[in-house]
Amino acid sequence: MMDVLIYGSFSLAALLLLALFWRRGELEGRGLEPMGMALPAPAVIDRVFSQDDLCYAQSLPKPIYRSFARQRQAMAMTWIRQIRYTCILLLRRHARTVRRSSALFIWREARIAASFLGILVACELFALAVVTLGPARLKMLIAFLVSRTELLQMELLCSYLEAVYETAA
Amino acid sequence: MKDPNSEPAESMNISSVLAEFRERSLRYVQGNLAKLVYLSSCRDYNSGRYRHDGLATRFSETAVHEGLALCHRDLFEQMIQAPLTEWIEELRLYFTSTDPDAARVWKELRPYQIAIPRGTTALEAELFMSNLKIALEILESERRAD
Repeated sequence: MMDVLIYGSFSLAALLLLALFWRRGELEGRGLEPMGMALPAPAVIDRVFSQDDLCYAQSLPKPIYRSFARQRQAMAMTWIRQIRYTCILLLRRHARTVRRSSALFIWREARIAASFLGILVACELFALAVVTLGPARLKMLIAFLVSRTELLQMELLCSYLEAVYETAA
Repeated sequence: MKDPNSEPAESMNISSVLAEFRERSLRYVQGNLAKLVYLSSCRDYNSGRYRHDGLATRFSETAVHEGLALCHRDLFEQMIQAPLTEWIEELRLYFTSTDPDAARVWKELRPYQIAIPRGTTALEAELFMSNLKIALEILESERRAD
């Protein structure tokens, strides 16, 4: 019973957040559409938040370092927008698929909604932390976001394949 | 009806294009950045399709396009995963082999924007542009110090 309540409230919160993002026009605009759907490889994320590059930049003249820090911060925000954008698109696609499918399992849908909500909350926290602490100090949050996003993508893929399989059967 | 053997043949052609291009053209270009610039010069600005006269005599238009696009993507990925210090060396090598004064033009006109391949994510494009800008600034400050 407790589980039902937890997953239920998570799903509701995820829906509310989704509605909020739609109103904010997070999906359209900001010039992300042409390059948006795929997420960058983890190696690219590692490079953006690389400690080696940061240490090297700190040894440079101040104006260059400031420019480096500003650009890395902007990249962190771009990454967050890309994650949000991709997750929302994936979830939309998933909703379209499962709506027509007979393979609809409420537990799995609640789990997906909870993962989605987790990612969105982590994105908001990350955005806040980037502004206050800078992107180089957020290693754990970055690792969490990378793994969570990959997990959600896998989960949605499995659910999609299951729905396709059910329809074919 | 589509020939079932045509797809593997096409992909074999693409690998041959890649191998030949690397062996006969890219091998003589020094540095990844110069290679990237050379590859983007093979791309038509309007259609985004890659063309190469030498390869076109032996391979289909599609195979040349796909092969060069793959090579471009591969080089771009290598570049953006490189540490910042390597970017400075790449730029230094590029300007030594072309025109030492080109750095000023690059800073002003940003011609390197065309070196980004299609299908690049926003973050990858931003990382590429940012690393180049920073590396250019570093070279500029070194020159001022000299």
